[in-house]
Amino acid sequence: MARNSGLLLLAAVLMGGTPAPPPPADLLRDAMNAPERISYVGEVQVLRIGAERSDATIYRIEHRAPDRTRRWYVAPQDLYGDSVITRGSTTYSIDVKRERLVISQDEDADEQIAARSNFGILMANYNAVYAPDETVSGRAVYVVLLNNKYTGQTTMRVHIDAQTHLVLERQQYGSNGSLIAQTRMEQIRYTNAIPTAVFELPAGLNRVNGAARGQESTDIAHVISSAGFTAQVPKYLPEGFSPIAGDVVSIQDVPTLHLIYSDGIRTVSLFQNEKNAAADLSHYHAIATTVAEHPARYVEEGPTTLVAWSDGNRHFALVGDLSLTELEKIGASVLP
Amino acid sequence: MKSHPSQEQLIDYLHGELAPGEDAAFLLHLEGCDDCRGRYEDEAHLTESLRSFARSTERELPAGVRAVIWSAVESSHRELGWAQRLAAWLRPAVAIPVAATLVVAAFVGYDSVAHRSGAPTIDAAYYLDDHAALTSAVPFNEGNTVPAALFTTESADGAQ
Amino acid sequence: MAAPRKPFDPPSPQQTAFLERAINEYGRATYNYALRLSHNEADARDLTQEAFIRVYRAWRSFQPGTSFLSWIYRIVTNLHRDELRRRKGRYQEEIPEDNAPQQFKGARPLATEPIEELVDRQLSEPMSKALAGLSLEQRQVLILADVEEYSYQEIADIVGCSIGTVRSRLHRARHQLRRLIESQPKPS
Repeated sequence: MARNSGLLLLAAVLMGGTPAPPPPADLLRDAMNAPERISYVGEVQVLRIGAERSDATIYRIEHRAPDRTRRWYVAPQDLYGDSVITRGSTTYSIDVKRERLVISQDEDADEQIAARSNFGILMANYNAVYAPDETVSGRAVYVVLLNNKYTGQTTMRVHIDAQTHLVLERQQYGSNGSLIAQTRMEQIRYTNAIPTAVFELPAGLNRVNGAARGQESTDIAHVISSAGFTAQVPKYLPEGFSPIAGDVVSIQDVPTLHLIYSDGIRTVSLFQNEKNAAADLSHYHAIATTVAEHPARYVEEGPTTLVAWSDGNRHFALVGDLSLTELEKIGASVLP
Repeated sequence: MKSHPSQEQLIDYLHGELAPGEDAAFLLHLEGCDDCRGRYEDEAHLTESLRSFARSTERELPAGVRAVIWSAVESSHRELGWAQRLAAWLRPAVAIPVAATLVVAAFVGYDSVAHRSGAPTIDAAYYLDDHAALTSAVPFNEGNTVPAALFTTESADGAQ
Repeated sequence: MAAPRKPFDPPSPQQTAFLERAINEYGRATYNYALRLSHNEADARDLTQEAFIRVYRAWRSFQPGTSFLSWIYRIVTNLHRDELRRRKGRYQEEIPEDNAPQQFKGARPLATEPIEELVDRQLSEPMSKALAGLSLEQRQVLILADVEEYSYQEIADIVGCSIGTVRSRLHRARHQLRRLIESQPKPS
């Protein structure tokens, strides 16, 4: 069956025709699932642009459908030669400089499932419209704009291969309309013949178990009740945002509740503990601010901002790609 | 493509050097020909072995090489005035670590005062990383571009 | 390997910053390319040093928007070829290992940690020997095509030959490499 669809696709390629575009929402849904059926190799460039500094990451990627991926880092220099192999829900981070292999298990088994369930939130908050077709890496692409229904602003541009429906490029814009992130695939080649050896692990490395992430759950009420303390939640969120997941994790024996809110593209995380464990910002350039008249500090990491403050023994951190003003407003609504 | 491709064509295909039409016809042929797919996989395996070899023998740039380059460059400017030499010495590789050391020292000083109570602290990197990881649940968001395991040290790997 | 050098023009902060950035971003890749080409750590160091010194001197000739790595690989390739021509005809002998400087008594440098030696020996020796058995031209093209993933056109530019020559060298190199790997005794 998979081979037949591959042949049909190739027949379309050979005839030189670009298929007529489906409705944009259908195309987006298909694009989200494309990696499960399309194998490819290429080079990915990721830019994250902040007011203070920007980061660029470049990696070569080999993906064999449905769920094997190897990313081999080329830049930044610190990561040169490191790689990450994903096999289903297990991720192996290969750190060549420290000669170690870090194994992480995603307890949720399938992030794609979560992404699929949040596709409804995306479509509820954004209008998907076509922009003129373009080319990326020599491939014809459909360009879909995701315009926020409340502000009218274009928040994301997605460039989708007209034949395979794989996402080849996407750009995300901040609330002031500036580009804050871009991911672009270069030198894409579709191939069904990626050898199994690509996804094998190198020998001779020390094996280390990675950080165990808490089991995320979409049952927010249950997560909040399992925190072991009375959690505070925001009374204000930007329009279209709703809770999508949460977990409770122990960091240095401090039970920490993590709630994540999203409108389908933008996300914001609220962390809280009641063990008087403050956020350590000593590795960052932290700037003083206030959250509802409480002294607070914030740091910017590319387009992501983290605001940390406390109320008695309760410590909070709010993280997201929203403006500082918006984050402070959410933060102020968390306090009783 | 009706006839079987030559070994040269297989190698050109592997390196993405066939013309687009030829490339697609080739892939179509591979889909239906087990023999050629086997030959292709052999070639791909050879390339992969070469890359594995390259990775396993990858070396850091020896510090001595850097020093020799700068010393060759600087010895050629021996006649320059002290101000220019100072400017050269304060090039980014030297100036940034010095500045960074000063900044880190300033923050360490600040935080050691702020945390005299002995209460635990949670590295902000953990929050940033966990936020990025969970955003992969949102459509068209890949989460962390780089897993934290490649950045953090063993002791900072986070949660238990 | 060092040739007599012309005096430098007075330096500018941009020139210094250019070199700094070039070493930071491409020093490691250049050194590894030189190592793969020369199969010899001392030569790789000399090639890398000389290449960056030339980059510094010729920094204005670098065209923004073009690949810096292709440029420096071309320099390394030419330096290596010139050096081999210069040495041609001279008797060369491998210096025995115990003639190496002994400054690492007790503590050995990281690059020769026993674990790494073991891994290298187990995983890489047949490939290393096979690569050493190729001609310089074959090795250049094979490394650029399969490890560095350059296109035939880019390789032709770096090596200084036609695309047809790149293609035929690559085909022969792969054939020869396979033959050399297969001819080695299998580990018992």
